[in-house]
Amino acid sequence: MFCFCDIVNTLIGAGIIRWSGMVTVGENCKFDALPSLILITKILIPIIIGIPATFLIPNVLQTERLIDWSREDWFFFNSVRTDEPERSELLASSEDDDSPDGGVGLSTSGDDSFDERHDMLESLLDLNNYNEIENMDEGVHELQSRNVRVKCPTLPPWI
Amino acid sequence: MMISGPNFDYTYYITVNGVVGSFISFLSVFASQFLFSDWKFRPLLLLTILIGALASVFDWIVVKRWNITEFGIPDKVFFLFGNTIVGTIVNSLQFIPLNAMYAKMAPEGMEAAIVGEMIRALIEYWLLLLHIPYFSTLF
Repeated sequence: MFCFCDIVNTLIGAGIIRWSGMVTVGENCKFDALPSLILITKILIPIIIGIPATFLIPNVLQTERLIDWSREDWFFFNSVRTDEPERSELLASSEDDDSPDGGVGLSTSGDDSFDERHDMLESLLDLNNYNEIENMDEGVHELQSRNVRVKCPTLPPWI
Repeated sequence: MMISGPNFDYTYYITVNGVVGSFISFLSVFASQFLFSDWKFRPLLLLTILIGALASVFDWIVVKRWNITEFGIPDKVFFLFGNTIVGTIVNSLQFIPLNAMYAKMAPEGMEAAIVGEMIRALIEYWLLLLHIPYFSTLF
């Protein structure tokens, strides 16, 4: 995102230089508008926009936590585990975050590798590739309908 | 009548400007660690934005040629203190806490993925930026 912003502001800056009437190449260079541009774009705009923008940042130390992920509901979706024995044994999610996948991906009660768990989910959903779940909501409902408890990262709602 | 200048050459930009800027950037990392690491995000960013605006005043003075007419300081020296030294210090002091903030905003267990994504996006940005002069010839 910040790279996109950098590219956009570079292009806008190039446009402003052209629109200001400055001539930067050739014999008859003209920099009459440069002092005004420096004053506006490098001094005034950072102060006018940058200083209020800093108040959007939490006023905490650099060593403190910014976000408590355990309270961010939009980041994790959880379906309800049921009593269906076979599937729940296959894909029972562990509660602790010390699981091999860091509590982010699928977890099982055993020592299965991620690939084995991936294969389990793949066979369960009858999909060739887990990444083919284009609509996350459908994927969640599918898993919920099959009574599988899954913790999986998803995008924030504003993206 | 405005005095012409500053007429910097590439040798100055690449050698003097580059070497001094790199050295100041090296010192800024230590300054950030030992002087500003116990600061909060907000006052540190406020300070760096204000100092960054101050650094741009040096550019403004060079363009207006007041460093020659009013202060009698050569362009190369004045530009070195303004953009190269103060600007580099500000960039370093902003870069380190902002990256710390990005790392703290990454979800648990995905820090390495976020850093990888940032590096990929940075490389992509520079590659695209290198092609902008070519794209601009199309219009």
